[in-house]
Amino acid sequence: MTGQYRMARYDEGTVFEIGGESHVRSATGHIPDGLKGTVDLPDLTEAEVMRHYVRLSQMNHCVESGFYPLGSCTMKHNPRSSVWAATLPGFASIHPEQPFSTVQGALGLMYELERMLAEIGGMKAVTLQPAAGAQGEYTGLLLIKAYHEANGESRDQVIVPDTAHGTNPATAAMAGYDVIEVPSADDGTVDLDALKEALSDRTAALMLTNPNTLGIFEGRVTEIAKAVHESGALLYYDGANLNAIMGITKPGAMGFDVVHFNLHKTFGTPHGGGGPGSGPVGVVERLEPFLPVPRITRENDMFVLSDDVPASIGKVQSFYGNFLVLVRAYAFIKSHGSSLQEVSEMAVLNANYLVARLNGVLPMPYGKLRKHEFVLSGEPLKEKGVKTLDVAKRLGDMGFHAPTIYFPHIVEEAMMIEPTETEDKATLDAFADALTCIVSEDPEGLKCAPTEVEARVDEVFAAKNMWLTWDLAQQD
Amino acid sequence: MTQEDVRAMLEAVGVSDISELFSDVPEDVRAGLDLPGPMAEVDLHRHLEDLASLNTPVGPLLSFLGGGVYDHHIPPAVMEIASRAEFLSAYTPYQPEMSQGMLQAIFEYQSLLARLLKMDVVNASMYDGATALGEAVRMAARISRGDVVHIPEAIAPWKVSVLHNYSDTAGISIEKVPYDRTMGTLDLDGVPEGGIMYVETPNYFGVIEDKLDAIREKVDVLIVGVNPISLGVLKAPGGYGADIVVAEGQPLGIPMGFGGPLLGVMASTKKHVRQMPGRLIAMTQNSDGNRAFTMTLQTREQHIRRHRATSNICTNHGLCAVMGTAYLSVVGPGLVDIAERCLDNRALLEEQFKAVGIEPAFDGHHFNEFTVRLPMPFDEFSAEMLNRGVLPGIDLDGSGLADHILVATTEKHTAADIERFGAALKEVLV
Repeated sequence: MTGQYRMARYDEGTVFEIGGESHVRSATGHIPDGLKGTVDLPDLTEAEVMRHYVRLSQMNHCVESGFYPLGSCTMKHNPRSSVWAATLPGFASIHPEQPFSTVQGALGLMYELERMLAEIGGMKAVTLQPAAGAQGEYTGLLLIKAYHEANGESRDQVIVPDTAHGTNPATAAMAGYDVIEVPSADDGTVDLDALKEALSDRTAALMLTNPNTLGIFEGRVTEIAKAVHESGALLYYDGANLNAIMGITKPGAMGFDVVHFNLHKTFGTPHGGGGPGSGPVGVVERLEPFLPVPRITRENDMFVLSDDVPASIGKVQSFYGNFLVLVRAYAFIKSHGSSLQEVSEMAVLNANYLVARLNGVLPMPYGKLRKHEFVLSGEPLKEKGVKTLDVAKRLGDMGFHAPTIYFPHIVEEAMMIEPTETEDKATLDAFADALTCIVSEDPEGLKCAPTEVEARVDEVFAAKNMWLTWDLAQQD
Repeated sequence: MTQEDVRAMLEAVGVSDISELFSDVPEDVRAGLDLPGPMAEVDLHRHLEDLASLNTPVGPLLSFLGGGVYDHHIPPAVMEIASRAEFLSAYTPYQPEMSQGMLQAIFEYQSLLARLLKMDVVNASMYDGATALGEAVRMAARISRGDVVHIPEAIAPWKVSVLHNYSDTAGISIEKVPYDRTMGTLDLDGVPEGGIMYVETPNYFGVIEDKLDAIREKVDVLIVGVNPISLGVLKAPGGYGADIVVAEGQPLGIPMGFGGPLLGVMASTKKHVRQMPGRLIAMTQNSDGNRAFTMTLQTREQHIRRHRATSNICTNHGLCAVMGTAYLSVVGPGLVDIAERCLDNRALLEEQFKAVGIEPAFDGHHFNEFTVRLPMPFDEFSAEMLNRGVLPGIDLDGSGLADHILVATTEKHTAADIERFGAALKEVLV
């Protein structure tokens, strides 16, 4: 199957070249000269604009064009019912400051989505406001901080495992905490002794994802929760890997106090080439008083937004969160309903099937049974001079997006693969065949990959020249 | 997936049933889901349409709501471009060879916004204008080692709330600078000598700041907030020496969507780019020596730098940035006409208030929005106007202006719309 894939490649100029000479204009009246500016934008016809962006879109891999196994990103199919729902004028064309009586459908949808996410997370209450997973983490830590402060405690440390997503330590530092990283045990799970050692009356929270980024379920999560709570700290659930466990277990049942959900991962809303996502946060009862305002409440059969929450941390977004993403996630959950467990079951089956298919092709450190994702090591290829990066690039030639690479850091030359539930066996087989083929290919060829898509892009040149805009590029 | 496929896969894994794949989940943490049954697509569509119909969108309602989110015309080409599956379902372009289209689109976004703002560098987007401000203040503190930010008193209360959640954790305190009660512009005497200052133009009350050069002279780090459409007529912040610029980019072709997703625009001078949060796309070359695009300066970011990153932001608002790119490509120099129509409509709207004896609350210059004092409580006024199918504006009670209302227009309003607003005003107020 090598070489069958063809992604469009155009020598497509930028909008500044297509539009020809830009056309400097300024206002003709109504504004005092001292305040008046000039506009210097390219002048394109609609025909030119459409051809330009359609061509650009054709030079981009997406879920519809092929397998996209980015680990921890959950690149599943985005159901078109969900995508369609967000285009309804009753959702898309409402202003955030409209009177409540004119937005009852929107508020009702959000109210119900909060309830459904609370059920999935095993939490008491949910805020839909955070815009993305990282902002959900940040909101969660602000809640944890407010909780400890309300109890008269000023805890200044957050613990993360060495396998944590990069956002975890970055969020903790941004929230003003010192970050304590605990090493994993030999089986790839949290080292309980190291954790207990790290826990103290300075610990505000432990941030954990379960299954972890190796795809391994933290079986001792109850003991972890007990140790965390005994130290007076709270347990934070990074929901990036929630796609593995729906209907099997819940963060609440595992002892977590705060959860963020990635609606763009687990609940099938489009990733948009890097967002918008949505990162709602669920909490147990003792943290509910601190949730962001406004809260959606029901008064006399009418949904209203209330700012009357004295202990609230305030706001983390301009309005109520990424509403049109919430609409899509609502549609996803409604369409699956009580069958959400099948989503997780198929995601886990697909991952473990790929593990079986790739057995012996590349090593998978830390045991066999995985949940929704797994991490292979490209270490054996090093003696041929081949890096994981080369393998990733070569996969592109065969029509597959690369896995997440070089993460988690505890696996050398890591390839983190998450197939999701929406891929069929034939696709998984084709990917396994491709990877099997690549590892035995000529090393010199691999170092030159890719050849069927864009030739390898020079990131060093980019960092050196810093051509961050068309105008900066023209100055050099 | 067929049942045979599932069986074959289970066999390959070496288990007889899917439940065995969860044998590592201890019994004491097991928990099922109490959710209603799955909905068939046909039922789901009807349900969603029913929910949408419980909202009355702008269109059927004649709206003069603004305050950061505006009902501008969205060219259909923008929505079609943003609906392309290749942009819609891709993710962050970690593998540049597979993502040249998205990378170039975002590079063009950075380039077009930089032109519009007259700034060196624009990042690949933040969540919204308010969080962009929060990040900008943290960036300013990194640049100057300052721990106080001065902000205008004429600012949306929700923006201050978001800012607190970004600045408090960095040990940055917020001081408010009062506005001139007659003009509505910033009181220059309150602007600090040195330090970090955030200025918004037009400000939350719709007034254009006219002393930006003087403010620039006084402070060390100047952060400016703008409405991007206003730059069709107003001087761009790079023109008066802004160090960092933030904006709510929603007016650039993005649906109001009940306030999200929006588009956080963030720009900086090249000098400070290494302190910028978020993703940056660069033009570079490939191994054949041809032009190509890639993410760059990633060592500022969380996936490389972890707890030493400039921000935790990962997923941003890429598709909204694509909308902004497509919008500016479609309207091009026509942005001037759009902005002038906003100016004209605002003048017409002011006339309607003058006809019932109400002058704008502030004497400063305005773009598409202005404040008036109502002769009756906001709630009563708003309810009466809604009875006539009109959303008249935003209550400014939370900004210290009781019985005041913020009224906004865009290029979409016709003369007839504005006359209808005037007729309703007369019925309610006279």
